[in-house]
Amino acid sequence: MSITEKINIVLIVGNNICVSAEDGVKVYDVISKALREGKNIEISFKGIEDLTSLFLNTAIGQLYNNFQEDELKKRLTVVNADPQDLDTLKRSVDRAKDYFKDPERFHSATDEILGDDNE
Amino acid sequence: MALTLGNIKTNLNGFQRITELNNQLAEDCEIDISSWFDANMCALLGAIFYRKKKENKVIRISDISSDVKEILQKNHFLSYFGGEERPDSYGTTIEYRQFETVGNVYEQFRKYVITYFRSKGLPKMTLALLKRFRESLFEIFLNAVEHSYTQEGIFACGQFFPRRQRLHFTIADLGIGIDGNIYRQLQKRLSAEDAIRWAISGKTTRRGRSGGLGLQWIQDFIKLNQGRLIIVSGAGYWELSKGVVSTHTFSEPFPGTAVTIVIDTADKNSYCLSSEIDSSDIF
Repeated sequence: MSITEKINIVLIVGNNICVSAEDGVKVYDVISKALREGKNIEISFKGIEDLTSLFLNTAIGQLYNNFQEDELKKRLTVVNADPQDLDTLKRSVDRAKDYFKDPERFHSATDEILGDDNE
Repeated sequence: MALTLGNIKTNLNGFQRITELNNQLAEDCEIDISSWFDANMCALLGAIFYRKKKENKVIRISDISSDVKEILQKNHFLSYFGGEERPDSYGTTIEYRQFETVGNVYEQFRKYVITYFRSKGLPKMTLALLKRFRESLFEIFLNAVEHSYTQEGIFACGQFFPRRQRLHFTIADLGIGIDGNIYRQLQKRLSAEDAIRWAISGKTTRRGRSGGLGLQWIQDFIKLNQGRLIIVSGAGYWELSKGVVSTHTFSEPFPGTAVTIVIDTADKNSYCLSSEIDSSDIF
């Protein structure tokens, strides 16, 4: 049975405002290291006051670039997240799954709003 | 040269007048600010004045109404340009500030947000609304730092209108604009107006990292709040107001990007944008 590592986002960031991409990288590094060591990870959102998609895109969304979705679903759990933060997290994770399936779709200028690609 | 600023409200006409002013300040001039001036618009005016000062243009305020003068003293805008400050006993102004992009600009902004939007002088808001508002400011500010490529700072200012129960906040930069960023990162040429629509539709210029969610997330928040989100970038103007989007192209561009949010501070929504989420069904 795998070991479960408990990580607390506020402790890694060093304060309860978790908004910048740079702070997100600190969390990403801890989670990805534990995943590579074969551990399960319980991510605690306890104490977070402010949270942005910018932070979550690097802290957690980036995991979908380097690990399989099935593996992340099996090995990551979230605890102590208030409903607003859970909402932001869910949107960030859904975006990351979509993005890494087809990154070019998110850089393209071809869409229903702009019409023809201007490239 | 003498110029009259006219009424500057947080709307299409107000932003248009500021873009015109930027063009008119090609030479030394005196400005009359004796009409209405929404204090959050100091972010744009401050950015323009800063750029003109750097270009050695002399700008003097020739006439200013006592009401406008009082607000611009309270929010420290005039002190940036040699005027006096005045204490704000009602706590309705939010300080005008230029954040230097050298050093830890995020840390400067974090302290500013904590000072003005944690407890002191705030309009009464639910905790859920206050949290979403603060988070939106961080998203907008950090996007400005990352995408504008400016060396001239980020300009911010807010104002609370107690009778209307509206809180305005504007963050402006003198950077390359959204169209400039799309061209720099993705080599695609879009008009300023289309570039804003591209960004607002959830696209991203960051390669190899999921993104583009921030502005969509803020739009959803603003729709729920029945507030307003206004983006001016170059000659492009995009506004979401009470759920309806309108766009415009100015004849004179703003020399950067400015994002404004206006929220209804009396709103009691819970601000969970999706329906109920199960924490075991995130990944």
